[in-house]
Amino acid sequence: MGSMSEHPDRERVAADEQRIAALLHAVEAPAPAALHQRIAALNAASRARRRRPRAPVLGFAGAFAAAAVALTIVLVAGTGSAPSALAASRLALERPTGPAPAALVAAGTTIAFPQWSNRGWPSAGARSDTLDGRRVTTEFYRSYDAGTLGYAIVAGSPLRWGAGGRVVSRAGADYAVISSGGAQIVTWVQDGHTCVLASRTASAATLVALAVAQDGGSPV
Amino acid sequence: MPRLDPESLPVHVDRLYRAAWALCGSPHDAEDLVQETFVRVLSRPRLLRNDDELAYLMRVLRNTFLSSRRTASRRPHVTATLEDLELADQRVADRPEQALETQALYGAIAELPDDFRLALVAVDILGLSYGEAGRALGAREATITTRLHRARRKVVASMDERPPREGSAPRRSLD
Repeated sequence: MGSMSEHPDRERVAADEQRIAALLHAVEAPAPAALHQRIAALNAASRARRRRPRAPVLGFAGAFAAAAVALTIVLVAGTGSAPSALAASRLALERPTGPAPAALVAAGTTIAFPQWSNRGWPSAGARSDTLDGRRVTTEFYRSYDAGTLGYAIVAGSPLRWGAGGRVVSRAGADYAVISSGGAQIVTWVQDGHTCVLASRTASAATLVALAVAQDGGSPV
Repeated sequence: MPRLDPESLPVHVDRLYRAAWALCGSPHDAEDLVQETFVRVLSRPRLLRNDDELAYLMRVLRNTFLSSRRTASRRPHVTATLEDLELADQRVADRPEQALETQALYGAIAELPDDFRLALVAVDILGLSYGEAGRALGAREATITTRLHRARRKVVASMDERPPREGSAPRRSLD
């Protein structure tokens, strides 16, 4: 009494459910190679951070080597469809479209742009763009002796770097330093978002120093 | 208490990607979600309390998905195309119909209510047991069973309602 065969509707529903479950188990949709490579790069950077405190000298070398490997991996991954930090840097090298408010928070994030007047870099304006669907907020700063720099913050998960460069470690965090088209670019990850400093006139060392001042120490 | 071994994480990327795709309804958003999940997991050492690695990752994936969606204040949307399906090998390439069915399946899952979708993703895509899924999602095992049952029924209904593709043979049912 009450067996499944006496209830064809119930039997059909059960068969449908089984088929859906079997279909889902059998789906072959591997993650794109670029994602695998970005995860490997994240892992390499994480490994370098884990090793650093145990042996400071070797740790730095290890971190550099791991980051170099990570950079290579990410560069290989540069054929993916997602935008890169290098693409974001181009926005940071554009002109502002208006004045920056006194307290500017990057769209889609909780990151506030710094006040660098006391460092000799007063605000020179801001702009707002979209990069492949991601909101990019940029504030510009102008120094009397070092020209202009743009600080772009890209909402969403971290971007690949997308160009050749090197990694420098400061205060427990890694920063990618890239030279492209006569511009110096420094990129790092803060609160899960990609930050980019770019300038055609300021040195990479200056950009790294400002990045360290702004960043809480998150890894690339 | 065991620690999560970061070195073992890459083996889970494919399954997490499929889970993320089903949650987001878009392979591109899935890439972002998986990457963000790994950023969170790798930011500091993690202890595995009652979870195995995959169940732990499911929990982080769920939290990351919910928080990112709250931030974006948007419903999941389906933007997958056939080209989005990276075919694993020639065996799959030889079965375009299955690729289409996969796309439709993931689209149907993305339209489920959150609780149903998460239960189905945890059990049917990630392969967690009902108990593991319950711990990962903060629900009782019986609740997971009910949600999974309803989720599968909704997916079946959704697949049955699909309009036939232009130029294709009349759509067959799931029978």
